[in-house]
Amino acid sequence: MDDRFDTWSRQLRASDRTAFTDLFDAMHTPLLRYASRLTSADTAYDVVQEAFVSLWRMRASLNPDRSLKSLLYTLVRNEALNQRRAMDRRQDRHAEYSPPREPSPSDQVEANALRARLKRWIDDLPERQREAFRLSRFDDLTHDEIAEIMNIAPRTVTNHVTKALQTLRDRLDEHRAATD
Amino acid sequence: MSTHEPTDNALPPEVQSWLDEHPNADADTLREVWQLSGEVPPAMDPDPERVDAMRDALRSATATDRGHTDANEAPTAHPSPTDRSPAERIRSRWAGRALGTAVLLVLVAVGLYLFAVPNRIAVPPGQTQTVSLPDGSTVELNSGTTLHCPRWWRLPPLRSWLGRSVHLEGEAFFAVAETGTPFRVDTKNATVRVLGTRFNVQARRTDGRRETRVVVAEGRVSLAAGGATTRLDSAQAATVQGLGRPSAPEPIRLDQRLAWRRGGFSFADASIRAITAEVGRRFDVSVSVRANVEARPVTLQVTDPESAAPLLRDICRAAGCRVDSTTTGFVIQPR
Repeated sequence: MDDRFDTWSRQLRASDRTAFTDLFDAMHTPLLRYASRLTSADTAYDVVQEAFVSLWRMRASLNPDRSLKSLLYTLVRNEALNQRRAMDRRQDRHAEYSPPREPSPSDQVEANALRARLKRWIDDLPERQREAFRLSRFDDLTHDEIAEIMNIAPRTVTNHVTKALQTLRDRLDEHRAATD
Repeated sequence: MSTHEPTDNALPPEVQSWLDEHPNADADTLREVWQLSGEVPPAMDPDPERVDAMRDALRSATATDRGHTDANEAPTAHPSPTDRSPAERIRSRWAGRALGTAVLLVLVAVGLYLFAVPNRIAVPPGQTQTVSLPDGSTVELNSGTTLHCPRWWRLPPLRSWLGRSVHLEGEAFFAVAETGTPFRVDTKNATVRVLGTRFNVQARRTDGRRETRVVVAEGRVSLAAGGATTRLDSAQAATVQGLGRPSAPEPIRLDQRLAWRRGGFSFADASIRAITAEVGRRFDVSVSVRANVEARPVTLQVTDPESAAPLLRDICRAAGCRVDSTTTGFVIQPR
């Protein structure tokens, strides 16, 4: 899908540090956002950095036939879930990774209100649905790649995404019915 | 990512084909939701300073382990965690150190445990057993006896440095090899110390009381209990009852007192309960004594008993009581 990842994968196997930096520059923002959705905005930096360190460590055994992009997301996901378990053990996870609440829509101009609502509806989706939907919508990943990252069947990804879409559609319909 | 722009608002192909299979799904609104959610502001915008710090950390991490290609090996250098707060850095360093210390402590503890946990030699009722200890001493164990001998006995330097000590519950005859290192037998209520000699220690609960009885066959031993120490020469015996001190040494006839080594019994003014307990252990039979039995103390020598039943009958005749056999063993009753 994206030739750059194939090139980077090859260069990384040859311990190319410039390619590593390029990959970091291309991917840090979506990965940080993904990590912040799984943990917290503050923890995300640690998570993404650890993921890149792991990637560098395993560079010699990279499989050229597998998507480097989904590997990166997988590394971020594993690290994020590890951090979350560590937070669970410290008992202060609620303070750190519950998704930040939007400011109330009334504070916002009308054009932004619907987006803010939509964001909250997305936040309210069941966790796995939300993750699959966001990866599909915001991270430009194929359902096969998402399946690999979330360690589930591609069919399940499609189920999650369509269910999420239907829920959001129902919310939108309700909202429009209420405001009309 | 310029290649994505044209397809940005297109539904994923899997969702598109799902829509084709579900014509009632209101595809237009779903497409609208998909498009609208694309306008939702991202959860966060990365802080450029922290991203720079990450880039620096990764650069130094990749610089220090160049040429290192084993995927499974631990990194030779950790990235300097410049994007962590000092508190977090200290916490993670402390956690690493604590983990290392914990692992080390566990290993040491396991080692010490394996080393310190004594070898346990247990002889069940109905049997006797002779064992050789690592120092060359031999121990004959009577029925129903447990002997603990530390594992480090296998290492002669440790043996001479820490001394030779065993723990006994039951009855055993020791032939101690003379090595220059004291040999010690600990029972629940007494300690017997020797250099090289042959002696018998009986440590049992008799009539609900702990009793340790030492008989010396050859050489000299010291018997310590309750803060006092008694020296015993060969053919002498002494007893420690409960938490008391050793009794005064008394001369004994060795062949009688050590009859158990040849399968016999020898009792001197012994209570019916002590005697039946010993018979029960030796023949591995259950002998219970009714609470209302008031029997005389018995002095008895039996060199070669065939089985428990005739022996118990002889004992009861001497003690003035009656023995009945039951399905599970014997019961001693008042006459």
